[in-house]
Amino acid sequence: MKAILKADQLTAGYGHKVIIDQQTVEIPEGCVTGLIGPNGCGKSTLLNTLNGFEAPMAGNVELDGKQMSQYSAKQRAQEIAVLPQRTVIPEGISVFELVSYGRYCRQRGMHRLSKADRQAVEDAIKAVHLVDKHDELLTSLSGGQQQRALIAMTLAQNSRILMLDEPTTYLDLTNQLEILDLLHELNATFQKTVIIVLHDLNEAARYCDHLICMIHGRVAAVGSPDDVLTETTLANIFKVSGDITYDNDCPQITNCHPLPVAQP
Amino acid sequence: MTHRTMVVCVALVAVVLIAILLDIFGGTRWYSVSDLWRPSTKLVGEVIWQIRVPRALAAAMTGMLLALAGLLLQTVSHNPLADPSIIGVNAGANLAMIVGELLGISLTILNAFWLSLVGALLAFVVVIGLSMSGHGFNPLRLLLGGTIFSGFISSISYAVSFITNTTQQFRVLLVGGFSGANYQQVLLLGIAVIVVLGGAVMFQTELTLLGLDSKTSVGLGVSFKRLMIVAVVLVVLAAGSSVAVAGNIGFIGLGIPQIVNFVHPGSFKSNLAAVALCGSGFMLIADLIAKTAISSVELPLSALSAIVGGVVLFIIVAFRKEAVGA
Repeated sequence: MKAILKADQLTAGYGHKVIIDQQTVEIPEGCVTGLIGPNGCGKSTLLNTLNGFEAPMAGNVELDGKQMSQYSAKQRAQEIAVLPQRTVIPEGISVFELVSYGRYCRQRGMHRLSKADRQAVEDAIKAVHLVDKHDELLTSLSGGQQQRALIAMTLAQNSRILMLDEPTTYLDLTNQLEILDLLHELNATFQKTVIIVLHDLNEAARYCDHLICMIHGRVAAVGSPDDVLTETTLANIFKVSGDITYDNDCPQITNCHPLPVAQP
Repeated sequence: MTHRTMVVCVALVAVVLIAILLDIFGGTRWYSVSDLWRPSTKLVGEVIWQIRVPRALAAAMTGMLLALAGLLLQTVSHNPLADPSIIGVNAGANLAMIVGELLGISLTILNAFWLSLVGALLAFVVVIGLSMSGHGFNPLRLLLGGTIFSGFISSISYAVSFITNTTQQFRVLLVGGFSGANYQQVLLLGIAVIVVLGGAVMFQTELTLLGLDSKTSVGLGVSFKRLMIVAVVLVVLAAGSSVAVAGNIGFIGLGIPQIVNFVHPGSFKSNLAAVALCGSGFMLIADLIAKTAISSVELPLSALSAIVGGVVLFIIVAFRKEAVGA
């Protein structure tokens, strides 16, 4: 499968601190790719380098065969839409206004909404099933609805790639599943390449076509959920013991226990 | 702009115009409207046109600049408590003027302006430096570092003027006021208003997107570095030119955007005009009170602004708590 995003011999971190050291990662086009791994393993750092927010300390990030540093901020936003973890929900802003922010990267001059912009905003609101909340204030919506409105904002960017950093973490189970179903639907209908950081391995197995598992800033396992979610991965990377059972051919972890931490 | 904001803005423009007229006619002696074009004596005409009018215009523009500086700072720092006087930008401008004068640069109006701008810029750069951490710009550090830095710089200003026996000379700088305002200052303030307001309008979409957290706005395609540079330039210009004319006046930058956002919660774009106009109106009314409250004494404007503003903010905070509790 063709790689739309590629990190070659990537070294990345904050300040002088190296978090990811010389790793090579490829993101297949048109798939839902999940980034998994324990806390502090470098998932977010990888995401923030792949999307061009942070420049790599060494190595290359290529989008569509072109160096990321050659894209301007707006050009990059036309290709990659990003929803970071824990976005601030501003006061006094309606769903429509929030979603219209997504059009910024497609506008010129004084940034007035054109007819095409309005249409894209309406389409995005429809895609996340929020048409009836169109004019309501964001602050009056539930957490799950707010998250859907934010996703609609990223959809309005009309980018080929959508990246989300733990989009389900602060939601209850119903809303988590709704958001993941929505992402799956967007991938299927718009052939969007989705890259998503997830904590829940069972959700990752169910909703992703491709998994990248990281530990200590290294890529430890790559492949389909079947290849990645094995009892060995669980033990070596997540330090848990568990059984892999298959639910409609999808690997799911059951009977999970933390392994005793080996004393050095 | 929606129909409702349009109506509100027209109303606010009317309030500012009335406040300008009140500030012109009010003072130790009140004049009548007809004195504007048919003064009863030559002296009255001169007082109105050479003292009262430039003073009112200076107050209106300074109020607008300080309120805009506050709104810009609060937007880029994601902190509702940020304000050029709190993080030490005003104090830096103040100190630069005092030091400049003591080094023998005579404080002509033009010199005062550039000294003030340089001081504001240096102070801002130091405070931004203090707020940088390993992960980049940290808004909380901006406020913490800025508050301490501001106190430090103000103390140096007071100490320097006290040691060199120039407290009386720098009175206007230290306590704030418009008593000596003239047309040259009005002109320079006018230029600052055009640049700051123009810049804020030009970048209003980017600044509105920054109302989301900075990562989200970067994801939407905002060039964060460029926007920060624009914001720094605008804040320095606004705060520096205000201090050059009227000394260090607090509260407006903090309080006006807060009050506007309390009455009408909204984005940068939707509140920009209201904040600018309310800043003008507030400053004019504060100046009028400073001139007229106690006959023959002019109250220190910075203290007055802080007292009036403090009371207003106090009411808002109390109100809000109630609303949340209910």
